[in-house]
Amino acid sequence: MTKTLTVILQLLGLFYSHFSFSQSSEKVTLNGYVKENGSGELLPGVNVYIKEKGVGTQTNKYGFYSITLNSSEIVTIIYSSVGFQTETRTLKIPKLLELNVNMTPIARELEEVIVKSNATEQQKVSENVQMSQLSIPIQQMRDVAAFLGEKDVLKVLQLMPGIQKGSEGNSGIYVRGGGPDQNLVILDDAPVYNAYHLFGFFSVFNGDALKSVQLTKGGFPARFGGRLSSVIEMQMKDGNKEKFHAEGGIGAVSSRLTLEGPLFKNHKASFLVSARRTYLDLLIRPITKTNDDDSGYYFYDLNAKLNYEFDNKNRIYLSGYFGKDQFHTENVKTFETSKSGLSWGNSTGTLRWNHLFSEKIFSNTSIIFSDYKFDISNDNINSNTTPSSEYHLKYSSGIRDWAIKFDLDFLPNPEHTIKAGLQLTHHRFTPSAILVKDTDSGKYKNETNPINAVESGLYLEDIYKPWKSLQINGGVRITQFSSNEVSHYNFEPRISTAFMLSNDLAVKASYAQMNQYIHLLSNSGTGLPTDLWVPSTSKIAPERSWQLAGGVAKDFSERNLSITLEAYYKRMNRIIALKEGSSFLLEDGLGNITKDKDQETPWDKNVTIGDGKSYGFEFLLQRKTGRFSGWIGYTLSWTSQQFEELNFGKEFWAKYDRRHDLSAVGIYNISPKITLSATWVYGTGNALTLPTSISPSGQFLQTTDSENTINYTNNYRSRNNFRASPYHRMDASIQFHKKLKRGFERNWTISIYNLYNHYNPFYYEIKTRITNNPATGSPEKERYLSQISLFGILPSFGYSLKF
Amino acid sequence: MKNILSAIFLFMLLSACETPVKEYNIPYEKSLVIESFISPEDSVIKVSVYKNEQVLIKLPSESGTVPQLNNALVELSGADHKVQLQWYRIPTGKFYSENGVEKPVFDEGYRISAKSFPIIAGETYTLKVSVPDYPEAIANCTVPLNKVSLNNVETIYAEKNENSTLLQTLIVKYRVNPAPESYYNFTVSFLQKFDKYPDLQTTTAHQLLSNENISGNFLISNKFSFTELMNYPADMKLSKEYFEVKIYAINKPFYLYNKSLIEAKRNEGNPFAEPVLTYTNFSGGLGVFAGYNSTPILTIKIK
Repeated sequence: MTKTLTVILQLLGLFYSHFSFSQSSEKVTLNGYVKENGSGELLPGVNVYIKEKGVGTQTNKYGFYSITLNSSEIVTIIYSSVGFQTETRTLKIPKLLELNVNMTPIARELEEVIVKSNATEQQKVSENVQMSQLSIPIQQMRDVAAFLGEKDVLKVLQLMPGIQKGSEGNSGIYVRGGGPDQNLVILDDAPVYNAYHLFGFFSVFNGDALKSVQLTKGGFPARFGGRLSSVIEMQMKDGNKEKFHAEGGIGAVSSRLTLEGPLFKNHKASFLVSARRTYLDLLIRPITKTNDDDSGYYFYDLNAKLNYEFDNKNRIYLSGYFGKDQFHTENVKTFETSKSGLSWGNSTGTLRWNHLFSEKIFSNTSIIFSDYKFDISNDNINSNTTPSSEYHLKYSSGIRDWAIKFDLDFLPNPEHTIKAGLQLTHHRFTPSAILVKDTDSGKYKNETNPINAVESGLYLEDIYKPWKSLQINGGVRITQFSSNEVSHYNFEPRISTAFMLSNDLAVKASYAQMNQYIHLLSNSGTGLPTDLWVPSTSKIAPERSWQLAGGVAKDFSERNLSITLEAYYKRMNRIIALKEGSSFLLEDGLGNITKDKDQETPWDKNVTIGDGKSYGFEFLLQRKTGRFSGWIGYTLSWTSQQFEELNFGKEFWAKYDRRHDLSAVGIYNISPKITLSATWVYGTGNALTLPTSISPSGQFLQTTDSENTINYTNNYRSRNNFRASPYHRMDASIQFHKKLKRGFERNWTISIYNLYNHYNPFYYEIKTRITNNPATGSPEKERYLSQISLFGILPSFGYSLKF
Repeated sequence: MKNILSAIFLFMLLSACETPVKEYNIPYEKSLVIESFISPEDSVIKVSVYKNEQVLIKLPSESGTVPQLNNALVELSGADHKVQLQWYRIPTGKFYSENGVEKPVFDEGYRISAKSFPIIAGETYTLKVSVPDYPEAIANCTVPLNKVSLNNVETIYAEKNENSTLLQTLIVKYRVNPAPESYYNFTVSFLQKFDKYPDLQTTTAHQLLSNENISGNFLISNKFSFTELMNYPADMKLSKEYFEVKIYAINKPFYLYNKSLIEAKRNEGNPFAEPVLTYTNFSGGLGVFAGYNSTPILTIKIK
């Protein structure tokens, strides 16, 4: 099978090469892998540039590159990547050349010198056809001041233009007017359905285990699909192939440990294990534990990866993520014991096989597993009765995927980079499954039938460089979704172009259509585990978006700076929202199911369908490396929605419509031993709904309880008709690095969240307090607007040690 | 379960800080707030006229009824004639406490005898209310055509022990011919009569239903559940216990208005729930002018 495919692809390659280079006869292909010096870690996104020809390519996410040139020429090949010393090779091209290159990470003390000397070779944003894509070096992510000292990739991404945070301290992200459900979060090809710990305050991604993070918010290449607004692609480190390496840290909230190293003496295999656990349960236990009661909370996550290089053409990777949040309460009395538990977590697993069909054709085949599960248990034993009465409840909901994915990179010549692939995913949704044992009413079991669905995508894209100054990435994605209720097919055209006006200046434009077949039911916006993934049904059609974006990218190579300015217009159709008055699904659903089966409300009855639009401008000034690095991001945007069943059918501002959003991040290496970092964010307040008046009402349906009481109702005349006060905050951190004996390195970090102690709004509430009327002395109910804020100034510290 | 959710919420607010917002401009527009529910079965047509208040305001803290505006001009018109409703204010015989002083509760508003202005099912009426210094409020109401009958009512009764509490439950089924837009209100009262105690202990609940709740030929309510009063003095003896059921065929404004009020009430204090916009069919005002047909009361004896 593989041989047949190889032959077909090689024939295709020959045809393509001939077709593209009919005037040229002697072509050779330079190819290989780029690795990190010292660890053997394969490096994605490395710029490979042929100086004399002015052409280049990039390593793919597995560190492979391939470029076809005329033979017998002497060329200078420059390999450059942010955070690494540039490697240069000058050689005469033979017929076929495999050239593997090791790149050395830049040490802090050398950063400024090396970056300056490499400036002209560094990858430029103006040379990349892809627009609306953000990548932040992992080292820079680690240096940004963090909430309670927990390094969090999603929170760092929130600081980029076009990406907004939800509420205070929350990791949920809103990309170009889209909701958190419209982001596809992938870790080593596996989707992560709930990316949050501790009700959204921390993301599940442990920065120590990550190799790269990339967010695409527009101009989606055809290889991406399945969500409307963004793709956040994360890759775990492969593990050090050269030597054993360990890194551990203690923070205010959690501790972490990462181990990596070679598995065999031949350096062909390596492993990585990284674990993190919070000790909040231990810290708060003295407060929560009494004679009768005990409660606690903790989370942990574990990343593990193995890889084996069979030969230059075949590599295998096995990686997994396991994380869990656990919350429990216990009440023990003489005759009655009551225990409740709430837990949720993701498990993902990916088995990948990289295969090189030829020097021009690289493939990856992945088998992917992802499982998100949310469980509740409630046990009550009352021995005061004879026989003792027992009540046990187990409730779970979740989503489980099995998928197979095949991707092919075909690099016939410097003018074309062709990518094609296929993904087939089997989803198994369990909106609710329940088991109840009640000795009062007899055993009662009711398990909601899971919903099975198959989603598939077939894509083809070509990054075409007809001239040196023009690049086009054109592609198409054909998607399909089917369950026992519905079947949908969609055609998604994608195109991005970049035109170089000068050596460092490019104008870019893109258009992309996306479809989303699975939906997230959530009305908290805070990333609670009760948020429920559900499929498209006969009543809930797939969500759809199209986005048009244009912009300018300019590099200032000598200063190692880049500026991007983008404008976008996005329409989102058939997006879902909960109907007015719908509250937590968990509370409604569970109460109904456990007590009165006949009162169960199907989830799709709580949902309404509408449209949204978002448009705006984004500015990013970025310096990725150097002694002083960081960025300034600014977004001016408008986001509105319209639902027939919300706001009387009239258009309204989305909750996270934010007119102005500004982030400034600075990281300064004062010396090789000290790093300072500061972040300042400013954002227009969230849209919120406040009543415009109150009135006595509800006379007809008055009940006995409410008779003879002054009962006022808030009159809400339109949705999101007010604005919270603007959000602004400054965080700062200082790190002290020291190299110890025997290769050890320690790091002290002191972070301060909300440095100037500004209380930002988390939500508003109209409250009532009793005051005395000064004239009459009679008590009065005074209604006032109250702002609830979560965090004032929060200092934290961290300590880490590695060797 | 609620303990867990409360704990989550508590955790999120662990370091929360509350700050009264001193300067926040919530623009206020004066409006009349009118409620009128008309039916061919009623002997009197009543209209309540209130005014809305600013959101951030001081209100009397004692119990009592909210006084209505007594200077309104209230006109009701049908296809062929128009009438003016008259202000009335009569004591209900009930009392409330204000600063420790018992004060009578009044039934007040605007009314006219149905003999002077009969309400006919299927007809459309217009209510116009004007008060000096307030925008004039006008609404139309079409009284539903569909009649309701006790012959179509079925009930399922159950008694249930839950957490040491005795619950009296009733499911109400009403036989209907499915129609694309039909709306109903089921009202169930649970009444307990004790010897040596003059007043009935009454608890009332309402459920608004639409054709979405139809299963087969029946419109089926959710379970009405009432807690039985158990901890009463030994000399009081429970002599009678029964349900009263009444079915209303209501028009769409009746359904939407009351649904928005019920849902708003349910979400009070939940900062994560989206507020429910208050429905009105008045142009220039707030409130509702709605119509219904109803059955007589059906009594279901328990003891």
